[in-house]
Amino acid sequence: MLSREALEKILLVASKELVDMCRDFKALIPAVLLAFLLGPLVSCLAPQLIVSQVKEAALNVTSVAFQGDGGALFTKLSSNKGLKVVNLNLPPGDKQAWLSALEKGKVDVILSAPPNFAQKLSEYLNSKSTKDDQCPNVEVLYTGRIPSSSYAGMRMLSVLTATREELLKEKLVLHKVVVNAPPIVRVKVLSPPDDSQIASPFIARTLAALLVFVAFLGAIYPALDLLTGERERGTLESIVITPISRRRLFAGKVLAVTAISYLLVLCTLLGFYVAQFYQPPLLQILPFPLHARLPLSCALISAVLMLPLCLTLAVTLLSLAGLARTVQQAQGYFTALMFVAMMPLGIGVSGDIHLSLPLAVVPFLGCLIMMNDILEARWDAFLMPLTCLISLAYAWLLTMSSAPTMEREDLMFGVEESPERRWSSGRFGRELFLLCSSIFLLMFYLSQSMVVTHHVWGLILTQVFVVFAPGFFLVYFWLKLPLKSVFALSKPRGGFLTCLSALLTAPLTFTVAVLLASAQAQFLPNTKALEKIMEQVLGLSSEPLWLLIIAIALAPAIFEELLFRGVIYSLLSKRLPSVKLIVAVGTLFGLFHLSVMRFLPTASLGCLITFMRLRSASILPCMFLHAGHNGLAVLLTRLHISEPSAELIFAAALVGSLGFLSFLYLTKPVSKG
Amino acid sequence: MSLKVQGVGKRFYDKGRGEFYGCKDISFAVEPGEVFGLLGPNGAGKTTTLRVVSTIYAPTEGTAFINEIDVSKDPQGARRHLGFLSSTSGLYERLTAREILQYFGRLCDMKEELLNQRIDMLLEALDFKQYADTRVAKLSQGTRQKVSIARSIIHDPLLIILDEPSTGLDVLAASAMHEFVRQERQLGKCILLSTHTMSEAEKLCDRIGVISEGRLLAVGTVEELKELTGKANLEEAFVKLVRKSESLTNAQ
Repeated sequence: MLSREALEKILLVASKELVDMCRDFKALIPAVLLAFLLGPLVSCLAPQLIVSQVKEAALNVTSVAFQGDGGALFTKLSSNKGLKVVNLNLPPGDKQAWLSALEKGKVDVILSAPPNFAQKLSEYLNSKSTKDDQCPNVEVLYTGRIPSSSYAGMRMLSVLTATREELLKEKLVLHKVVVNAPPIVRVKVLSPPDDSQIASPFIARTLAALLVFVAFLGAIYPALDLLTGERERGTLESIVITPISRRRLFAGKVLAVTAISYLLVLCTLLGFYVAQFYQPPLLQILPFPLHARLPLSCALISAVLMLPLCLTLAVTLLSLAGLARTVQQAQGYFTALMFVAMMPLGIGVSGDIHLSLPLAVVPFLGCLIMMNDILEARWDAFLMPLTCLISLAYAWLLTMSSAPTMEREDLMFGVEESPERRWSSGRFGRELFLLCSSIFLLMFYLSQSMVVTHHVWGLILTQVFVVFAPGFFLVYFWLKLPLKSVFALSKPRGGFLTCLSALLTAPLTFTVAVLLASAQAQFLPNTKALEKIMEQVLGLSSEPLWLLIIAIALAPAIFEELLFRGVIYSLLSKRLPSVKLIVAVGTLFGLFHLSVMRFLPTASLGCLITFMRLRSASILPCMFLHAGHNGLAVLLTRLHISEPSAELIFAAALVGSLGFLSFLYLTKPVSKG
Repeated sequence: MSLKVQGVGKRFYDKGRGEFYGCKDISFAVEPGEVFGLLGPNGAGKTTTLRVVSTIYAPTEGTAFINEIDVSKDPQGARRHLGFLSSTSGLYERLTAREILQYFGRLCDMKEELLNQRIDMLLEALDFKQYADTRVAKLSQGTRQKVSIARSIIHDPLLIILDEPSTGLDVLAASAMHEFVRQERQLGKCILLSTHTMSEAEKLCDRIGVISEGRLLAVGTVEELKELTGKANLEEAFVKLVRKSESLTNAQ
């Protein structure tokens, strides 16, 4: 819990920052005005523009030319008041001349009847058949390049449908056919929903996305000014030598940025709430409803729920601003973040995704979907408070981890440390964060599409370009670290027999992974269906075995080990004690596989391999174990052994245990003296 | 309150130059009621040394003790006792001088009554009372410097570190500032300042440390430095020490 003194300090910083920001009228007034005007613009002006467009299109008479003999159909269409028949005086067979007239805009649309159309239509109308496929068709020609022609084409289709129904009705009357209509079902809704108490679909689909957009815009400038701006102006230097704790200082700034972002959100909500009373009457002909109904209860709940979202945005932007030396640099970071932040806005507009447990625990996304649900009168008493709590926890964690960046010498004064000194001090937190986030994003977006497109080869490409390349680029080109020490490809402690013992451990790790997977299947969805999909995507049963061994066993053993037990291990090893190091690298290895179901087995394997790296002082045994573990999985799949027998499990555990014990023996620390 | 600087070194890295020292093996002590001046040309390492002492830079080698508090081990503790006027620090343009002083005083846990008294005293002592409620954006360079000085010592620290305090001040303002430093010395404060102006060093400092190329070349009173170099005045003594150091470096 926060002490009273801590709270006082946070509020002191926040109030000073707010006073400072509020005096910047030139930035604040346009932002507040924009926020206020957004509601009237979206609720009143945008529908009016759409209405005027629709009105104009509806009132316009569509000019149509008939090509060929359309018989009764063309006669009927000629009497339609919305159509103006133009005689182009062109030979019916010269298709090119007709199309050219359409391109030149002489008519909006051409109805082209094929040869003998009139005769076939007459036969159909006179016959007793009601089969659709016996009714001849005309072609509707229009050009999508000219808007009036495009609209006329769509309109023509609806006119044709109506005319066709009319002709069919006449035919039924002519032949005295009685159609028995299906019985009418009377539906009585008990306690019907009160629509006036929920937001209209138009508002429900747009408001959440717009509020997030405003919150983002509202947080950008203060975050830039209060952290990177202070750094650039030199005021941060005078603050960091006061005795206030960095975390309290950062928390105060987060509070100020949240307040300004939230103020703009409230202005926007107020604008939307007021605008609904001034929305001009909408025409019934609109293809989609644009009513701007926003009940007070919805507006108030939205106002409350936007607070965690503003907090999440504020703390994220401030953390990013804290990593930039100049305002320009921070702007670059924000632009990249904006693309990421804007992606979930599609969810708001589509409105088809609702809050679930996996989404509720994602800080930004959870809040956005929660907002959407509230506007559609969906309420989950467990998930919604959970999302708010997750946002608070995220803000707290980010504040704790980002606060020390405020006094970083390299960011404050642009001074650098030599690569050798950095290597020995092991301060690579920022680089590790960047590496992990880029690899996770690449895995999510690039790797999956590569695997779907190139199957097994996609896996190999993923290993080279997603797993290995970013880490290699980071250590070799950016940090200029000694590759020999980072990748530790030297002879392991205990010699090359250690590699063999690591390879022999694979049956044990594989058995443990199988047992863990079956144990967690009691709580989590079974992985069998997922495995089947993967088998199909990768073509495990059709690809040659050597290719599968390379793609699934050797490539990951080399490239994933170079990343996890090479780069990530090295970046963390100087800062973390052994146990924490093993758990951290293992957990990252588990997370990297992007699957809740596979997390426990892969993280456990990751911990064991990291232990081997630590104990043997080389990456080679790790590669052997990894290759053995994955190779066994490939072989068992190829041999169609989905559920190994108890004897097989026992034998594997025995061989693996012997392998592991021999590894421990071979790598035992040499006693001094 | 005393300050002990023990073998302080700070290394930087530049792609062109490789690793180099901003300051190296700097050792000196400042006693209560003493003004110690770091005198050196531009780029000599004065600001780097002061930043290490004031906990902004973590030293690569050595450390400094402020009243037995190790700045590299307990920077937070050390900050309670020091006030640092940096030559590069800025002021909040949209706040008034009084608001800035109140903000920094509160950050340093000062009680409201004491803070207001201290603000009034500093406004008088540094002679900018008439601008107390004017926003900083509208103040002249000299008045801004006075606000910066007042801000750095608002919490009445026992160790005052001033990095080129008379920069941007006119003769009258500089004189007021000098007078203020003398008053603080009489109150038993420990004062460490950097300057490249000989007259200022001569007027204010009880002892002077001549610094060049990141190394402390000599420490002593003005008389001791003159005696050491065999020169008649401080300027000549300073030039001789710096030239000698440069020629030694070139020879190496």
